[in-house]
Amino acid sequence: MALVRRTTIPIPAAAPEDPRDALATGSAAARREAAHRLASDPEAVGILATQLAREPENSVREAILAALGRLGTPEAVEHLFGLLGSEDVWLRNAAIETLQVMDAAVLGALEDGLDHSDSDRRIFAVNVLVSLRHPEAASLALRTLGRDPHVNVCAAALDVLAEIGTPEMIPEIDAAVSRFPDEPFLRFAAKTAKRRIA
Amino acid sequence: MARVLVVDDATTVRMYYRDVLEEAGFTVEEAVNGFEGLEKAIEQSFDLLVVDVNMPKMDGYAFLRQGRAMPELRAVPALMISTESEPQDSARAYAAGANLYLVKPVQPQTLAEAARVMAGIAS
Repeated sequence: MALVRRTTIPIPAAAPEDPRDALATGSAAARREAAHRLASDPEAVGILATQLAREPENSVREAILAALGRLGTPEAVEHLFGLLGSEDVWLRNAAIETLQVMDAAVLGALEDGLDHSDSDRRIFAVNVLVSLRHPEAASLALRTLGRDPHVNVCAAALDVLAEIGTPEMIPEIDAAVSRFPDEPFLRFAAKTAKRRIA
Repeated sequence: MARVLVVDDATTVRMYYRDVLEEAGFTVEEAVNGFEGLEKAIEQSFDLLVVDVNMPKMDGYAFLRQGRAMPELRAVPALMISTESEPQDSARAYAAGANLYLVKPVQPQTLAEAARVMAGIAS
């Protein structure tokens, strides 16, 4: 009887799952991991945005938002700004927090947001300014205060200026607030901002 | 003295409410978001909550929903104040557990009067 040599068939090492598939169909942990992996793929904005729209788990949504923030491409920024109009308050606030740490990448879209026709969207855009580590942030808040017609947008701008404004802005703050003589809150906010930056 | 918890992420807004509400006879405690608000509500008792909608970490709706499930906050009157003025915004506030919804900016007299009535303090 002839001897038959038994050959060992190597078992291929399991290929890591494609993060695009894992993001759509994996467990919550796998979806979170996939979002982290896609944070270095500039082509992944679309798939991240699609998953974000249907994702039920906040921890995965946080990972997707962080991925969009790390990508920082114009497409990612545009998507994040689009979320400021979401009816989902959690998502809206999380998008603001993401944009706040993106620095210069958001400036172009931010200027558009400050000119949005919806005053609430303008308020959310102003809220992005406060943590934006960019020298233009205070100037944009001051410009908004000087020309926005809505008292709540100006109030938000004053709150930003209280944090990052500079003393030479005080005359412009006074001039801007004088446009709203019947708004005690705005006078209070201006006084507070001036005291903090003087 | 009646105690009010103001939950709002905007420093200037909290300071303004503090001025108005202290003038109206309240002792004021502040929280910068819903999480901090819930923590303070567990540690201390309040006669009134004044709550913003848009805040980081935990928004005002989530704060009220979770608060209404806690014995400490189940029956405390809640005044929600936000920049959002669409009918669905107030409906959402009431569904979350607010007793009154006002749109910013609120005049000092309006805030003081609403707070006194809600906390059961005679004017």
